[in-house]
Amino acid sequence: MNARSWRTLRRHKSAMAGLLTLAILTILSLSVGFLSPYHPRQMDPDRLLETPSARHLLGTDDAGRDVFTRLFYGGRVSLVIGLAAVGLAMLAGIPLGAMAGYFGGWVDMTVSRLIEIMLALPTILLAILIAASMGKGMDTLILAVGIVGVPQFARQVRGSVLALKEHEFVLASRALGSSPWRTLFHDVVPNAMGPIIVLATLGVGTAILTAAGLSFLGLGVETGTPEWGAMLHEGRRVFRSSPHVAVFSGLAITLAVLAINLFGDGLRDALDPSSK
Amino acid sequence: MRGLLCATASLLALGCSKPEAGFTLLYARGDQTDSLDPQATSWGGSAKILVNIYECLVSFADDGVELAPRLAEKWEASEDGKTWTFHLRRGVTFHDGAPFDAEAVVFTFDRLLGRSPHAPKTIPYGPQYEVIETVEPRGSHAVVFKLKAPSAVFLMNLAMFPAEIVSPSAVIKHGDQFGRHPCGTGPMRFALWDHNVKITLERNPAYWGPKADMDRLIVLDVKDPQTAIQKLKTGSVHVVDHVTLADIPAIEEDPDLYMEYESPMTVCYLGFNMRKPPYSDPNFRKAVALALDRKKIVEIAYHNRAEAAKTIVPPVLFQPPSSLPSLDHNLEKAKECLAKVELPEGFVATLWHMTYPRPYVPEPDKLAQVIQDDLSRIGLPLKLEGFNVDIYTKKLQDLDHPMFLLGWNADIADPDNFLYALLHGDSIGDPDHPSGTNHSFFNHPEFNERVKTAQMTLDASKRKKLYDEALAILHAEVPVVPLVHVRQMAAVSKKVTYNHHPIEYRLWKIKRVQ
Amino acid sequence: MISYVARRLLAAVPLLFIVSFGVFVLSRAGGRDPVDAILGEKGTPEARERVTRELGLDRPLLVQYGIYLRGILTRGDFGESYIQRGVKVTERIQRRFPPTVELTVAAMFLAILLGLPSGLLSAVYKSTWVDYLSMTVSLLGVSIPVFWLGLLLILAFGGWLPVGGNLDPTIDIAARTGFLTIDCVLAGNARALGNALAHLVLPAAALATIPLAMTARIARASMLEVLGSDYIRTARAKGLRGSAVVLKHAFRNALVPVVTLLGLEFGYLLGGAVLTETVFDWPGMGTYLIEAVFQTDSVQICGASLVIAVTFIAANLAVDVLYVWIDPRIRYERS
Repeated sequence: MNARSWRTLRRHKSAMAGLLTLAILTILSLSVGFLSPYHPRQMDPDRLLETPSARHLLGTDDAGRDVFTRLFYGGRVSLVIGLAAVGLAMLAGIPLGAMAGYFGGWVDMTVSRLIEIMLALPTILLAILIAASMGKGMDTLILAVGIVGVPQFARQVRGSVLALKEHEFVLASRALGSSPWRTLFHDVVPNAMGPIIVLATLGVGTAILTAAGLSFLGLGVETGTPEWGAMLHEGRRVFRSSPHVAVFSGLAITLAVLAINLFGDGLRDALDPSSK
Repeated sequence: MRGLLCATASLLALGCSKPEAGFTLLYARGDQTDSLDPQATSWGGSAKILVNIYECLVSFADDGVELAPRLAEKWEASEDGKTWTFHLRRGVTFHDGAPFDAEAVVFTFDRLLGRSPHAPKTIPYGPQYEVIETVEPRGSHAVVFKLKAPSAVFLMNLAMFPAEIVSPSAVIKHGDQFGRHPCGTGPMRFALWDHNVKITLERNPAYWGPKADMDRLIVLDVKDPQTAIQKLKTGSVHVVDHVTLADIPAIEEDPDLYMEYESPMTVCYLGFNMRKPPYSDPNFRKAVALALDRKKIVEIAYHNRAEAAKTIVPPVLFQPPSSLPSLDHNLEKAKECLAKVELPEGFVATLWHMTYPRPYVPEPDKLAQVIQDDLSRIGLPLKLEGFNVDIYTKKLQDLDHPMFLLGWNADIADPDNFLYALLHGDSIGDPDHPSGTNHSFFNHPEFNERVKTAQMTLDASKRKKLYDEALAILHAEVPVVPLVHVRQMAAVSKKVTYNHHPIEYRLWKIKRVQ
Repeated sequence: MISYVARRLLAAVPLLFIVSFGVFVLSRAGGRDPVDAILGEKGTPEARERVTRELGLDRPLLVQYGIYLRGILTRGDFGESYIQRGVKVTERIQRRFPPTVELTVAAMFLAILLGLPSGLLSAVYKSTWVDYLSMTVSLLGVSIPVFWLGLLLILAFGGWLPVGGNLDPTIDIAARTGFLTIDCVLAGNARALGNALAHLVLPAAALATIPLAMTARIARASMLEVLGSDYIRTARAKGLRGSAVVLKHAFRNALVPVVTLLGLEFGYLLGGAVLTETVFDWPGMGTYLIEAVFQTDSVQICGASLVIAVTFIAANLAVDVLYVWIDPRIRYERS
């Protein structure tokens, strides 16, 4: 990211609002251990389903656990899942897409077919099938959500590399005797990073939504783990009489994803002025 | 002339329009049905439907647990208590039109005992009827049961749902699909099963006894209890049997609704697979038992609508002796016990639980989390794994289960129904391929002997002594940790009257309020 | 044109094969071993071997898949569940598929009906409050979890509109097409139709949010592009009034990218339907799949996923064809 796009981004009001929200969510999630006197799994039979008060800022759930504490421990879990899943998707998707775009031929054929096949299934269906075949747990969830994201990255990178590979600087690098791999990963891919960064940012939002969806269905994290989707799953049980548990956890998901989308949109405008 | 026209018009209307199906009772539930073949299931969610379609030879009285005639009009036992003759009701037909007779009874019990080519693949309650040596017809409307030994519970067991009489012609016609095409003699007959959506029964117009008030009974699967209560409030269902505990106060305040409770003839327990280390170690089991705070369980997982269990048998059926040592919550002792267990490095215990509400545990995953919380206090990490109805009990027979949550609703009002079914060695089934209801695989010779002798003992005080001793063995061995006894409950619309029978779900008896 | 359609269809065949094989393998992994499920306690080694052979589970996976596929293609037979004995998957799919289509179509209808005008208006009134409002709402729409929105809708409107299921269970409608609304019309039962539509409102509204937001965003972007193009400026320069320009020229051209989006949206809808159906207890393919997953029932998981996947592929194909039909400038020779 060059200085000019950074300036553009800093003047982008909604992007900055998104970034600020994300920063607050992250800081609260990281410091909740100091901020809250409660443990996220600590139950209290005398304080079931209390509405928000000074003692419990966001009330308690139907096991007497503090919703505020669970919400921000849940923030750690949800953000980690989102980041890790996108990381995984990039790790697999970028090399695949880059090779397909650069080498062409059978490599491209294979990768493109693979992308096509994975995109031929609705994401949540693929995620459900992967999660179902591997059982509950955070690692499973990351893997399921990550795999689903692979084709997006591969497709994006393939397109960028295709466009870049005939550029003069690439030809120059090859003429200077660089190996094709070196050229690809030292010259081509770094220049294709702009759209990838945007895709990755927005991808974290999508990953959080997908992961929360799986947890809401009961296919995500282990029972009792403070995670936003799982909290919503549990809050649904008492939704009519005590809506606060489900309302706050849903609000947390929406807020986080909204912030990511705002920032991602701003990032796109900054990195690619033509898209404005 | 005008009057004539009107009369003609209304006649025409009567003739043309199909009669609006009078009174349809809508019953929303959270559990599911695996099979409607009484011999093939052990699941309460199935038994609940079965008692409306099928009948046993003997049955419980209208509002109590005493035995009364049903498909058998009368019976007599021989002096030694080993030969029982039942005289069958005449003029009864199955829903498929076949006559009910001695042959049907023999056919049913051959099935139940696995002695027939028409027997289902699994017969979970089979072991409970092993005392029966032969069942033979005598004439067209009498049957003779010969027992291997006299039994104090035989007659009561005949009133349990696995002994419900099935139509031989329907079983033969449908083969292994019989569980989807049930056919009995009961007050309601099967109409439709839209899997995981609804089961519809309709009034049996040819029923021999007093007929149901309802024309149709629709049992709706409404997984989300909040949706179910919403439907109850807007009048689109009459009964909800899986109420979110937190909602009960609001239901009790609602002028159009009431809560219906029944005496607690249930138990919810935590079991151990006693063949799998470290669950096979009595110190481990004791540590778990002592770590669990039943008071907290009652408060959090049951919102105070249950009573903490001292033994596996509900106190309404059997009062344990005061001499019984206590396994109450004691963290220090629990830690001591756990210290004696050799656990592998980084050991994480596993608890299996069902994911659907049961009468004895309306919110299983919350109960599992309370247990997790309690065990963490003695430094025992716990992994929770939840399973759905159709596979849970089957998986419990696979031999590799760890700790598990399960419960029991009384089928008959006798301690034997708990002690024999859940903990007697016979109830394991084939030791290598367990099929029974003893999922802990507890097989203790002295315990087995006490319970078996009690079955054959007709003297009440002698039986009590045997059960006292049996319970003492359980407290020493801890094959299961009894958690709570729960009152069965349902939220009901005031448009209908529903008197919960202590044992059977006689949904067909629900009546409109006139 | 015809040759293009034929070529697209032909290209979809291997895709369908590979996708269905993938689904087949994944469902197997997600389900309980059928031999265990059938035998339960009677699993002596001999019996296990016999059942394994009877079910053909000892043959290579590809052969098993071939047999399964042949059953579907020749007899429309998706097999029988091993977990819920006697349940025929084809019958279940016939029962559960139409409600999902009804829900999806209703949501799509809502999305276009509301999303398109709001997107177009945003473009025409760019940088006014109309634009900001519409874009804020649509940004919120892509960020909100559909299952949470569903719960909120139930909380807000559950007292007025029926929640849970797709029809009052006391109403019996003969299943002629399986599509409830159509069957109600065929039966001439207005009360039933009203009841079915009332059940449809909240789930369709929840499901429509994401595609609504997407439609609005794309419609806005594409309208802006068209409005900025030379010929519109020319038309304006020739003295045509603003609204006439918008309606006659810009509108039609702005529609093209929106149509391409429909296929993508259909995927969101089918996927979102899994979550939405769960929230509203809707008896469709989504809840069917989830039930099968929790029953670890590989045969039913496979049947449900296959139907969802094939529907998705077919919808995308249809949209591709539609796209070419609307905008012949697309170089469809290239495929």
